[in-house]
Amino acid sequence: MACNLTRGRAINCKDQIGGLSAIYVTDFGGLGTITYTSDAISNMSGSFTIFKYDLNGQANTFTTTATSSRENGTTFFASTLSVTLPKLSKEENAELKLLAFGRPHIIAVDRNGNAFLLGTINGCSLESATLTSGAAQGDMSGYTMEFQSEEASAPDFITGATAANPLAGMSSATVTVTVGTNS
Amino acid sequence: MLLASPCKIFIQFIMKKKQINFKPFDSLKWHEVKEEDVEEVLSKDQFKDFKKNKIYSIGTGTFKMG
Repeated sequence: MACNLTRGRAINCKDQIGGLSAIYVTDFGGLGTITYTSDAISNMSGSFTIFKYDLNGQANTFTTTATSSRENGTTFFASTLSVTLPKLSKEENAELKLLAFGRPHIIAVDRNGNAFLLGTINGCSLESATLTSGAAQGDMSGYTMEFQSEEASAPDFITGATAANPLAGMSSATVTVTVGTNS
Repeated sequence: MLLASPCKIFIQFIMKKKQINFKPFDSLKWHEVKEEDVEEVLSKDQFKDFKKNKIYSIGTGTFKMG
């Protein structure tokens, strides 16, 4: 049977920390053939550019919820990625529009160095975004974005991710990492 | 003279086929590199895969043949 269980779980060491350190966004459909080894993405064959968004603070998260229906015999995994990007700019405004129009694949890198691919098959949809000026002097002036994806499985781990390149382990992919600039 | 020309074309074809380029992961530009340099960077198995697939990416970038 395809749903027989395979392993148990012990109490793990308390060596993890929460939060995301960066997301990488790439246009839908460019990843090529994705290869899985031991339940993680081990290779891609596409030629594509990924755009890095550095994240800071405590408001950057992704959460995946599995929904199963006994009546319908279905299970799907809905992921919500929330990011907060301080500082408004005309360049970011223009990019925000492109993010909203498309359905990018997004790689979320957590503070433990794990890289996850969100929207592997269907892409991620920018469901809501706010541009806020804040009110008090200490309030945030910037963007908040919420992406959502629905897939047949939870976001996949990506093998061989490094701090500079989350797709460093993808030997058959031609990846260009474009980082942001300060202002 | 008549034979020399096709030979030259064939040699050029072989040489062109063996040209190896490298693109750093944070750049769109390709740079020509020597096969010996690639052998130094990649492990034996990685180099074998590169020869077979004509493309191989590592953390620092992508090697491409031809």
